[in-house]
Amino acid sequence: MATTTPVVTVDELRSPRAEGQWAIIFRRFRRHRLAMISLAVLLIVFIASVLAPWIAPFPRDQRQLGQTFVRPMTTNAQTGQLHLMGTDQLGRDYFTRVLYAGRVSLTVAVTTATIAVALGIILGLLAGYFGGWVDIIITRTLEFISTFPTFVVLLILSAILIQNEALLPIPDVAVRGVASITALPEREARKVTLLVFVLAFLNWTPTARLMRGMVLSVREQLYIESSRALGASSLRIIFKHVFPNAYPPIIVDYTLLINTVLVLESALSFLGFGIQDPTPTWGNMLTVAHSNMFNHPWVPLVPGLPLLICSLAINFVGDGMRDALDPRLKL
Amino acid sequence: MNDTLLEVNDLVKHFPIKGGILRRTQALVRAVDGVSFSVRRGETLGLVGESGCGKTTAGRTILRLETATAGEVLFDGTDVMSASRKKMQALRRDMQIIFQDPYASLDPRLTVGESIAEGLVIHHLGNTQERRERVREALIRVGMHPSHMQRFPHEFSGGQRQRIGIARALVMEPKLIVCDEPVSALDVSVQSQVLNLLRNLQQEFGLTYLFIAHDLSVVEHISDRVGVMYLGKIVELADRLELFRRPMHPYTKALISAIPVPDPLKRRERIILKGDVPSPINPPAGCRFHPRCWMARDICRTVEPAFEKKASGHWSACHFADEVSERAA
Repeated sequence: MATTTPVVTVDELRSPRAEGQWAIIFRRFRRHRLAMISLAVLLIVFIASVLAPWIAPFPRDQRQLGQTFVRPMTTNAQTGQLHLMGTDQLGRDYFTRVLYAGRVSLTVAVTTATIAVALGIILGLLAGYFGGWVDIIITRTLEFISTFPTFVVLLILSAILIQNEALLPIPDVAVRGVASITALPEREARKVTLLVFVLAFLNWTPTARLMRGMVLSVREQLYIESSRALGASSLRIIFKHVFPNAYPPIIVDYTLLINTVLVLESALSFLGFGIQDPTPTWGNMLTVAHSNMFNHPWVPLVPGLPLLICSLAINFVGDGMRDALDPRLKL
Repeated sequence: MNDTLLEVNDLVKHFPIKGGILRRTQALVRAVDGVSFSVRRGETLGLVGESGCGKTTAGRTILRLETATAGEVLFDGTDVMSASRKKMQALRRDMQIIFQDPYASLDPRLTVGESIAEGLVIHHLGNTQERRERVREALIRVGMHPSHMQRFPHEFSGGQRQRIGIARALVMEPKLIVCDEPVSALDVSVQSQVLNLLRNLQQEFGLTYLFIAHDLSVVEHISDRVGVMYLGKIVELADRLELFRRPMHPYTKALISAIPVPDPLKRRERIILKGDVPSPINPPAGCRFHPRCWMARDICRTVEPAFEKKASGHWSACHFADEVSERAA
C-alpha cells in the first residue's frame, strides 16, 4: 500500500501567510552551490573595489623608481611595504591598481548592463503590447542596430569619440555620478561615461527582443482579458500583469550582459580603444602584460585572474538564477 | 423599471482571414451571424451548442471584449456597442464574466486577495480597509476561507480557483454575469458544487446569468430558458421545460437524444447526426443545418428558415417545426 504524503506541512499550517514568490526563488537559488559561492566571491570583489582607497597600500599612480616588475610578495626596500602582486612597468603597485581597476571595470559593466536592460525592457514592452506600427518601428530599429558588427563599430566610435569628446553630449549629472562611483577625476570619468553609453546603445537589442517575445505570449493569456473585462487600463495591465509575468528571463539576461560588457570593455581597453592609462582597468592592464609576458610570465595573471573569476562567477550566478526561476525544474 | 436586462439584436461578429502580400481580407469566419435574444432580470438564459458554434464569441462580443461587426446590444437600456469610454467603464462594473479555464484566468503573480480586489481598485471603490472587508466577504460567500486571501492561485485546485473567479465577479456586485462554460473544465463532482453555488448566489443577490455551455444536462440544471446555437445562429429558443419536452428543431432533438440517461434498462431511440459542423467560413446555403438533417427537403437547401415564434415563448428556425414537435410527442 502506498503511503500518503501530507499535502500541507506543519510550517504552512502554522503561518497563514504563504511563501512569497521571492522567498521561493531564493530558497531554490540557495540549492545551487556554485552560484552561492560565486555570489560570495562577487560580494567580496565588489566590497574590495568600493573600499579601494582605504584598502590599497599605495596611491593609485605612485611610481617606485627602479622598482619595475617587482615580483609578487616582495617587500619594498625603501618603505618596507609589501607588493602583494608585484609592480608594473612603471613601478606602480599592482595590487593597488587591480583594486582601482575593478572599480572602473565593474562600474562600466554594471551601469552599461543596467541602462541597456532598462532600455530593452521599455522598448520590448511597448513593441510587444501595442503591436502594429509601434512594433514595426521598434523591431526594425533593433534589427538594424543588431546588424552592426559590434566590435568594428566600437573601435571606430570610441576612436572618434575619445579623440573628440565633444561629439556626443553627455549630461554632466552622469559624468559626476560616474566620477563619484569610480573615484576618478572628471576628465577620465567623462571617457568612462562615454564608453558606458556607447556600449549600452549597442547592447539593448537582445533584451528588447526577449522582452517582446515574452510580452507577446503573456498578452494572450486569459487573465489579461479578465482584467480588461473589469475595465483595467492599458497602463495598469502592462505594469500589474504583463511585466510581472514577463520579466523572469530578463534577470538571467541581465547577469549575462554584465559579463559580456565586462569582457568587451577589457577587450576594447586591451586593444587601446577603451579607457586609457593612467586610469586602470583590468583590460588596459592586460595590454601592458602582453608586451612583457615572455620576460615576466606572472604579469598577465594579475589583471587576468580577477577578470576570469568575476566573469565565471557572474555566469554561475546567472545559471543559478535561471534554474531558480524555472518552475518546471524541481530543485 | 424595465423587465428586460439584456437585449441582443442581430449581433454579428465576423473575423477576417487575411492573406497574400497585401494582407487583404480573403475570407470571413462568420463566428456569430445574426443572433437575437433577450435576458430578463433575475433569470438564467442558457446558450448551448457544439464547439465552434460561436457561443463564446457571442458572450465576449456582448461584453465588448470583441468589437461587433454589426448589431445592437442593450444593457439596462444603454447601448453597449456605442457607449463612450466613461459609460463603458460604468458598464464594466455591472457586467462581469466567469471564464472557462480557471487555471488561466487568474494572474499567477497576484495573491487571491489582490485578484479579487482588482475590480474594486480599478473602479476606485472603497479604501484599502473596506476593500479587504469586501474581498473577505466574497471569499466566504463562495465557500472559501478568508485566510486564502494571502495565497497564490497555484496553491488551489480547479474547483477552488473557479470559486475565486466567481468571487472576483461577485465582489463588484454586478447585475449580469456571463458564465462562459464555467464548469466544463471541472470534475463532475465539482461541477455540481459550482453550479449549486452559482444558483444560490443568484437567489441571494438577484443576479442575472447568461450561461454558455456545451453540456445540455448542465444547462438543463441551471437555466430558466435555453437557446440552442448552430453555426453562428440561434436555431431554437424556449423555456427550459418546453424545450426539453417539445423541441421544435431537429438539431435540438438530436442533442437531447444524446444526453446520457443513467438507466441501463431504458432503451431509447438515438438520433446520430451524420458528418461534422460545416465551416463557418463557408456556411451551407438555405438552412444551415440541412446537410446533417434527416428531415431535409428541397426547400431546406434553398430557403433559409426564419427564426419565428412557433408557440408561446417558443422560437424556432425550421421550416417543419411542427413536424419535429409532433414526432417528439
